Amino acid sequence: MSARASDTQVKTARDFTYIKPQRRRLTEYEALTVHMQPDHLAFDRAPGRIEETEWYLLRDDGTPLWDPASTALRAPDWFAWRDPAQQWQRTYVRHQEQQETALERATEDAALDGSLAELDPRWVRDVLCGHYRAWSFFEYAVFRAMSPAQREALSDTLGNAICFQAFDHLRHAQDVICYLVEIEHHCDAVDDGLGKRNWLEDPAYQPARALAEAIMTCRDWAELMLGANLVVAPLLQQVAVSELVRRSALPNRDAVAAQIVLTVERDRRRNVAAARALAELAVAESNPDAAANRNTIQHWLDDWTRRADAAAVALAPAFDKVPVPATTHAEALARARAATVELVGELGYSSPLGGAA
Amino acid sequence: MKGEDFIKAHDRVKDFDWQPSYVEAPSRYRMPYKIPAKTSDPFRHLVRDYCSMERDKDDRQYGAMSDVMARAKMPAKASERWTEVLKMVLPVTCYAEYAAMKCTGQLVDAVSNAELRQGYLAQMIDEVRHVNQEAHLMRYLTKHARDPEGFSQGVKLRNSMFITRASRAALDGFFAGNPIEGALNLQVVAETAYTNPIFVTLTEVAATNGDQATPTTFLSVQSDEARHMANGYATLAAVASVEDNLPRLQQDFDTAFWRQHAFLDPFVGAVYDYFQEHRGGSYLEAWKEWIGDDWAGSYIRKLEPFGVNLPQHWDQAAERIQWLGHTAMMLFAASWPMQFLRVDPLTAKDFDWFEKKYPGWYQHYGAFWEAYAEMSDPSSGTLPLSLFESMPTLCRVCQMPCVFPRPDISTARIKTHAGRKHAFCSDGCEYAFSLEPHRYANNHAWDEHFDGFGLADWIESVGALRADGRTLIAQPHLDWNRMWTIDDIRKIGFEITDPLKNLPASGEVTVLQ
Repeated sequence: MSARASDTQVKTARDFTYIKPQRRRLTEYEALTVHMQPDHLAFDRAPGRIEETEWYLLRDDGTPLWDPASTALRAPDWFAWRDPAQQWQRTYVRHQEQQETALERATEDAALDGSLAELDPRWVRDVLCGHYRAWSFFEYAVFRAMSPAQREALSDTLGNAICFQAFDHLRHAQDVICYLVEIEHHCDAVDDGLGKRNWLEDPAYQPARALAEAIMTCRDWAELMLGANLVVAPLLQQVAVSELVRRSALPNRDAVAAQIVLTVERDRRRNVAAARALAELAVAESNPDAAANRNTIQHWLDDWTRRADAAAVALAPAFDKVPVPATTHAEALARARAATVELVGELGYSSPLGGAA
Repeated sequence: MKGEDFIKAHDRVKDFDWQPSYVEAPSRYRMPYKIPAKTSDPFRHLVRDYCSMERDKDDRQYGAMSDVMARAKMPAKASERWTEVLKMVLPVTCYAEYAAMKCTGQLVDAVSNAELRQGYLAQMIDEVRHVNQEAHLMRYLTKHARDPEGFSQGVKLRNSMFITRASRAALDGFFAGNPIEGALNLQVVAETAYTNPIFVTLTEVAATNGDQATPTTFLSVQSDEARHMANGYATLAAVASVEDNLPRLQQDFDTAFWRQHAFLDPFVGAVYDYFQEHRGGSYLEAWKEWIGDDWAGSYIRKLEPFGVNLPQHWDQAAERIQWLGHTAMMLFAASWPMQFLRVDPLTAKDFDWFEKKYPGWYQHYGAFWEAYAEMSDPSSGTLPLSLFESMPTLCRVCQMPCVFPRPDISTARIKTHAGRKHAFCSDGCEYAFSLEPHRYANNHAWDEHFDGFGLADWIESVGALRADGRTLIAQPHLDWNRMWTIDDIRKIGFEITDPLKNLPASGEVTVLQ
């Protein structure tokens, strides 16, 4: 019979003992995130003679609830992946609330100080309604794709990060709508339906729409995470949003549009860092499938780059409609291509846009 | 944004979907339902409002816990009997929330309706919120409760213990099947029927027993649930509005209800009734109010004109509810070394309460609890499992013991399918298996998995020992001076066996005597 456990020489842990921290101490993010998803291959594999995977209820097609085949990449432990931003729900929502509050106040201030009334109608109609509103459909498509991707991802850390990214994109899409609703009170040039018409019919947006539809049907959550963040973000979103909207906004006296994009770029940096961490995990030296993964990722990057680049090239007419141009399409495209080549190059990949691994 | 602007923005948000023309875009999930493009909107928040609302709630909850409660050492002052059960409850609820998040991801993909998708997205983030909140509570209790053992490793142990492991069989239903099947399991049954008794009424029990941290967390969780129930209703209404959907809808609803009932009612009943030190209402009373009257009597009955009826086995569930928690708790206490919490013996005051709340209780369970108290000291050298001839066989579908509602009026139904023997606890589970045997037929119940393990070896191998490496996390009492060690268990020499092996290939058998 033992004495009281606390009377022994062994100190009782006052924190979770089941998570291996990435660094010396368990972070709050790790404590609230890791091993929430069952890991039938390792963490949750109960001792015993039965080696088969333990599922109590399979999917209706007979496949397991989390299927290694949900991605072409192979890794011995997806649960080792950590979000470089260490976001959990509270920190994430607080961050987005701060961004949204800032945008709401900026919009309100711009309405009150007359800035919205002074916007060039051509900027409002052609850029904000014709282009930026059309782009909101692309953002919506990424939200759509990220939602089932978080369901299929092979660890909780990955699933949660993808879930937050889904939210990022719907936030962006809605911000465009909210801003235009406010501008309508101050400017007659608002034509909210123009964005959808362009999205569906204007040749400048058809390569982007084709890519958006391909994204919505992408079944591989890792491909989606890498393609969307290592290619689409620095190449296409850079051209369509950062170059065309953010860079042009201030010369066209639109501080609010610039601020919307700044918040989006902050989210984008977080998602790019997450994708980089995934790419690095997939080809870690300890991974026996690293070489195959590298080939797979190279193939994905090549494929996504071709499609994203075609979409970015097609946006040239939209640049011609900016009343006070801040840049040309050619310059914007060149900068975005260079940034994309640099990003994938840092990870050891080549790009169809140039640059060798 | 106010008034007309908000409505205008919201209307535009609902117009985001388009018909793809560059790719064929079937949902990745098989959808045996047609979803109408237009539905009523369950959730009229924009992302902006959502973030503001949730941040306020987060600040209130986490602020209260980190400031007043921790400084006043409130967790250590809560009833120890009550606090113990949270070691088992929180790993289960964390997984429920996690599974819910997966469900909403499927719904966003499959339900081609931008209006509903907005609501699903908010719920998706809500569910991450709830996972984090409940994991935070578990960690908070690891830091502040009198006995952290069981909190500090509960997530690791949940898949090794037969009751917490059975939770998977129910909660996986949130996202294992087609997305509407998932919504029925999650939103229509688990959230609409069960979150009120769990997150509202159970928190009253917690507060009565000096636990303020759980109500602070759970009531904040529950503040999101009304929106989820609205999502469920809107989804259900949309599906039911297409007449061709109705036969499949009723079938999925029938199995969803039974899948959740088979685990949640025995589990929540045991948690609710057996860990109160300062006693209040019973689970039966809470069940009648929230599930019998509100859910079945009002919510579901209102759907009958639209062709959705009470689940096929509803009457059986209502009849079983009187005894489910007691039977589950008897087995749980009998197998206490296989758990990861301390189970306090019942007192004379408890006996009176049970007899008052559940007339006839003493006749069926009183002798067990008297024997349990006598066997709680290691010097007894006996486990309460010795009161039964064998462990009951477990149900292939719900993974719960085939002993419900009460051992003397229950039978296990044994069937052989594709050369393998299966036990079923009830008509509902047998029905679910008959519809889709391939989804269950290859799993291993807990006793099949651990068949042949000596109990002491099993405890060591799953890690259910305290930091000293010899004292069990689980104890059959709250007395620090009479702790059971692994040596005490080894001396008894109990072996885990799979009772199904020795049962006939088919027929009905009584499995616990």
